[in-house]
Amino acid sequence: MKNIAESALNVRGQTQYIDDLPEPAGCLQAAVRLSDSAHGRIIAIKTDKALALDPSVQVITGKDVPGVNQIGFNKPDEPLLPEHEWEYWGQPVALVLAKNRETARAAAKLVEIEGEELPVVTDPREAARNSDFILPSRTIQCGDTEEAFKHCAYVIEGRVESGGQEHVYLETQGAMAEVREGGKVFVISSTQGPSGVQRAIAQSLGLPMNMVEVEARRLGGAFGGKEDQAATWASLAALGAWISKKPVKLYLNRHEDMRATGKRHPYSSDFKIGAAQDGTILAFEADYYQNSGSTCDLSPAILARTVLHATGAYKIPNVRVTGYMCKTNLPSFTAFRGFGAPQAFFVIESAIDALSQASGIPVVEIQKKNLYREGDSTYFGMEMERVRAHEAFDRLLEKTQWHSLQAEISDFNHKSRTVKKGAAIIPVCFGISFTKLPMNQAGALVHVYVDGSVLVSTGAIEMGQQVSRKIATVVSETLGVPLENIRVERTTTLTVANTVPTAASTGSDLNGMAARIACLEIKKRLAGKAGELLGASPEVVRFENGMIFKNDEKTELSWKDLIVKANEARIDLSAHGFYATPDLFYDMKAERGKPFAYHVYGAAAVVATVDTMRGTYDLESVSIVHDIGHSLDISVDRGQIEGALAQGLGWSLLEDLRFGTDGKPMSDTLSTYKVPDISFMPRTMDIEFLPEIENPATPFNSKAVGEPPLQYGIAGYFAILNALRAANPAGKTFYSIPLTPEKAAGFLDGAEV
Amino acid sequence: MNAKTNQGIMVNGQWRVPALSFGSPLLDFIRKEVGLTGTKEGCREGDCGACAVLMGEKLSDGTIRYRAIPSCISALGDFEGKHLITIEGLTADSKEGLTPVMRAFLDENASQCGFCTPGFIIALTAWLAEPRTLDIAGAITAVDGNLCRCTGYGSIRRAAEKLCRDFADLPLDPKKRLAALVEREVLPKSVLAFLDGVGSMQNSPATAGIKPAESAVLIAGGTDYYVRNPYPTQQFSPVLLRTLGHLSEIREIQDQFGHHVSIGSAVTIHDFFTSKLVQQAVPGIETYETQFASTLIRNIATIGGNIANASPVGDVTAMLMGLGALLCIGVPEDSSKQEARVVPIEKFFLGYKKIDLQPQEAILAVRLSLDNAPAHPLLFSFEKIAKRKKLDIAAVNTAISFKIENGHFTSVRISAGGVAPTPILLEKTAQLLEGKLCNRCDAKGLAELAQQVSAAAESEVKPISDVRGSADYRKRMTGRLVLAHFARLFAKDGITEELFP
Ligand SMILES: Cc1cc2nc3c(=O)[nH]c(=O)nc-3n(C[C@H](O)[C@H](O)[C@H](O)COP(=O)(O)OP(=O)(O)OC[C@H]3O[C@@H](n4cnc5c(N)ncnc54)[C@H](O)[C@@H]3O)c2cc1C
Ligand code: FES
Ligand code: FES
Repeated sequence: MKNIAESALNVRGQTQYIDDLPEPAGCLQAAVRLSDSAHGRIIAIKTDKALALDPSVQVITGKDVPGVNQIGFNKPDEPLLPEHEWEYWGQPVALVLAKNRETARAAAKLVEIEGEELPVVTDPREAARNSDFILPSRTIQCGDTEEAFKHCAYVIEGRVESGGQEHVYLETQGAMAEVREGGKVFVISSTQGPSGVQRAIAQSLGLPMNMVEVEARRLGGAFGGKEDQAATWASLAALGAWISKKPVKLYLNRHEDMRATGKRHPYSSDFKIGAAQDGTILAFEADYYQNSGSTCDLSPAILARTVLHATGAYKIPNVRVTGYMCKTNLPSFTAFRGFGAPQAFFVIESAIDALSQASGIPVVEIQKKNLYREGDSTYFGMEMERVRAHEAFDRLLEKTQWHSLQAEISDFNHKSRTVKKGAAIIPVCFGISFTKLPMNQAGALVHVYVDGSVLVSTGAIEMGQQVSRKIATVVSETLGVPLENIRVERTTTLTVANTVPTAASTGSDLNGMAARIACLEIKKRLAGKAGELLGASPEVVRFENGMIFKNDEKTELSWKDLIVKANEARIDLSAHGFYATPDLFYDMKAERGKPFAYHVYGAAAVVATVDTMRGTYDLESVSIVHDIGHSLDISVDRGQIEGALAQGLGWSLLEDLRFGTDGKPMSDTLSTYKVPDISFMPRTMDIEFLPEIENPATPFNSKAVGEPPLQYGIAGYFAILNALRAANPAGKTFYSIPLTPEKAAGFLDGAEV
Repeated sequence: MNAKTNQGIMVNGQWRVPALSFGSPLLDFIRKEVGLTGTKEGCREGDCGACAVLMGEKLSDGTIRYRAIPSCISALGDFEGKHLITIEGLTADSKEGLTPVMRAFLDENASQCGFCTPGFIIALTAWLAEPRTLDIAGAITAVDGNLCRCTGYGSIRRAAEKLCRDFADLPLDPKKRLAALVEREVLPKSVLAFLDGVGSMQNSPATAGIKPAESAVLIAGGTDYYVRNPYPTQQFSPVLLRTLGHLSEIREIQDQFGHHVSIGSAVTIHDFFTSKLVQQAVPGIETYETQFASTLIRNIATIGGNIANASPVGDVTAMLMGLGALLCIGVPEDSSKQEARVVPIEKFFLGYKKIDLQPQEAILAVRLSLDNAPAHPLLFSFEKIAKRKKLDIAAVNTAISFKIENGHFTSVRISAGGVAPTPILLEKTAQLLEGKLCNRCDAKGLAELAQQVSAAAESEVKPISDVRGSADYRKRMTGRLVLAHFARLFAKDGITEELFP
């Protein structure tokens, strides 16, 4: 079942991303003047030097924004271009247009920002001490932790740090905008959320949304980075087009993109874990200091996912977790695959590691003992159904022959002098749905043309997750029409309105369901006509592989003939489908409810080696047992798991996002910020899928796959930590991501890290 | 390009004379001028591989070879008379519009968002074209300069494995191999046209011998220059070292009377490591090639550029310093053939990014001694530490070389990078080792000596902190890496057991 059309364009180099599209006649190129310190008050923005560079140069500042100079929708704290204050190093302060990109960039450099420096805060704990929060904190509580700690055989406290992560979507952010006849604004944006972009443009230009059309084609990667944050660049391009009355393209280069855009939130957290003598976890407390950066952006939704994944894959009876959104003078941290959950998983797994160190009970034993079971309810009161935590974990233990593997490793470590080995497991239980409840909806528009070909438009943006392929599969199976007759179109706000961003792993769940609903509607109409033609009741009519069946017998009537006849009979061959995930509810006051449609389960084991001479490491193998439900496309799902694993390993070990204490970005190029390359990845990646299972919330019992496997990377951290311990049993344990070679060598040398 | 140009570049099937100035990055020519947008810009700093294209060229021995290069940091003028194949050009003659490499990517679903895909396909096509036996390790090295953020590389590896199997029988003769690849639609027929036509072509391009403006910037591979200056203007008019065709000394590796090997400063990193002469001078040096940058970069970056760039962590510079290389410095355009001055490499660096070079002067060649008698062979080791093992700039690097004569360490040289404003020699540390007894039967004694040398190295350096590592880390790593030299060079003598009991 291979629909290679899309990928065939890719391999031939024919796919057009923003910068590959032909430019409309007279198109101007835009560049941004980014701030070059982290916090300051604007006194004046001087443009004369820039304007003198070339007659084509125009400079646009916040004062020129015709509508509301504000694109923050969760909290109005994000002017499109600041008029009073800049709040991070790399913030766009002015937009520059010119005849070509070189001139625009050169002119942007000449724009002078005259201002007064203001104090800079980069550390979330410092912001917390100053009570500088984006929004009030959020606490979820269950049972009585204080009381429970009193009865624990072990109570351990600790601190956990996790760094930010740059998306490094290979295609940087960009947009092309044009004002068409009647003042209608048309924008092509590299975004995961065209409707959000449309809203931001409309608001900043002072237009109703029906005057703004946003189109998103294929993105060269996004991973959350183009969810909220594409709006800035699209709105700036639109602003430029509006003011200059010429088409405008704004395409960031890598350096600008790495400076100006948000990344995964760094967290600094404290935990306290308590357990009985046998390793049963009785109580868990955590305080998460989320480094939110300079604006609200998606921070509250991300923090929600953190506090809703605080106990990882484990049932813990007494819980108190609090999350703080700390405002700092760094780029506004934003969505990144995993969306606040990886940070929470790292804290609970660190707590378990610390518990194991203190109690001597092996980590895997503690993990296994405390996994969620069928019928458990979470600390926020959600009853867990079709729980597969044990199934995945046990299968992984069996598959890796965990106990003999442990023996082999200790044998190896005994014999080997300069190479030490370590292994670790992480179980994952990941809730699927947007944590912001109203976002769990999707629309789709399906047309069947008279030749029988089918066109599907949804809100799902294609960005490498191959969601088009999955939706095509859903449509093909629903209509009983071969895949080659189906085409999934790019998303535009004209065809499907008010879409939610393609995010939270829900792209194919929500949009697939909406497309399926539209197809079922068309099919119902067609079944009536087919019944009439075949002299049968519509109930016994079935569609399969382009042919119509009656009472399970193939008839002479083909899909194509039926469509012609239906069209002649003036039957509507188009339908709009709408889906809203049922049964979700959440009481924000009580912090109780069912925020997720279902959970995805899985477990991963990583084996790694440490070179004790150089303090470097290699990932040897990864084994994964993953719950995919019924896979809509195995090769797509495998690609998602491997890709998420790479990003998880990168975040855990390699990707070292740095800022100076003055807020200066220190890792803003691909030479200073390293992401996994082919040889960084383990030589063996063995992925096994759990048997199929019922999952009513999705098309054909499939399961979302984008984010859950990212947490598998965390096992890489613990595998290496264990190998380091084998090399230096006296090393001082730390829980700090990423575990760079520098930290590894520090552990070996007994240094503070 | 400019008036100096006569012949142009063969882009896919067609010769073209560029309108853009010859100092423009090649990528801009491909995307903006020719309008081929399959070649992507992912970083403009050589670190992602999305801009890779195939370059065909004729070598001085007459063979034609195709290699993948990063177009974002290459000077357009360097491609005069060469054949460029972009992703679009690969399928020019394919019936299905797909090459076998593309087909393998489709079969393994190795293209997700697709932005990186053209670069990977170019890199793997170049790998197939290289006249070597195929194996997966080779394929992985071929794409060590290509980033993919979507796939996690599993599917790309599987596609490469498939290619290993399907193309196991490719001929090893360069010409036959290219013909076979054209036959099997991996490469377009324009390769044959280039093979035939290029023979009559003048080898030294027209830019040769023209005296540039005094202030002109010198560019060799461009891999440092364009990273610092990614947007040159159309007025930018550099001297392209490689096009100074009349100066074979600059471009070739030559045996000088069996006394030393002279390595032209414009020799690429790849050609340096794979040169038989260099390997003869420094046994085992080829094993360190893949620690330097990536295949793409090694294909264009030069030896002279690495030295003249004066980065404190230049890898080849650290090696050459550890080897006691001599630099021949002169004015490349000077036809009076004035004698070049010869400067020991460690004397060349005067301060942070300050070098002993007069205006108009350039490094012409690098000399390594060939005095490498079997009785007392040269022992050499190089170590580098970085966040990522491949394609990353070192936090610290070091090289050591010495001989064992009459059971004693002699001619000891130890270099270190990333620990001072310039690459340095650890002279005190070397002195400590010089003349010491080297009893290969006494592992314990060797280990003790290694520990002493390592501690001396650690205390001899005074690094600073930056994004690649803290001062303390760099100091400790200097010691660790020096120890690693010993562990490598005396592994057979049981030193590891003594060092790590
Ligand atoms: C992605 C990437 C990865 C890299 N990885 C590494 C690495 O792992 N290790 C490492 O050491 N370096 C690395 N580098 C740096 C760079 O590739 C090397 O320093 C390379 O050897 C420079 O050679 P070049 O010919 O490209 O230099 P160019 O950019 O052409 O020149 C660099 C400088 O030297 C001058 N120059 C060049 N040749 C001469 C000459 N003959 N005489 C006098 N001056 C001259 C130029 O004027 C210029 O100022 C990397 C660079 C990139 C882009
Ligand atoms: S664009 Fe990234 S290597 Fe050239
Ligand atoms: S497929 Fe998206 S970067 Fe490789």
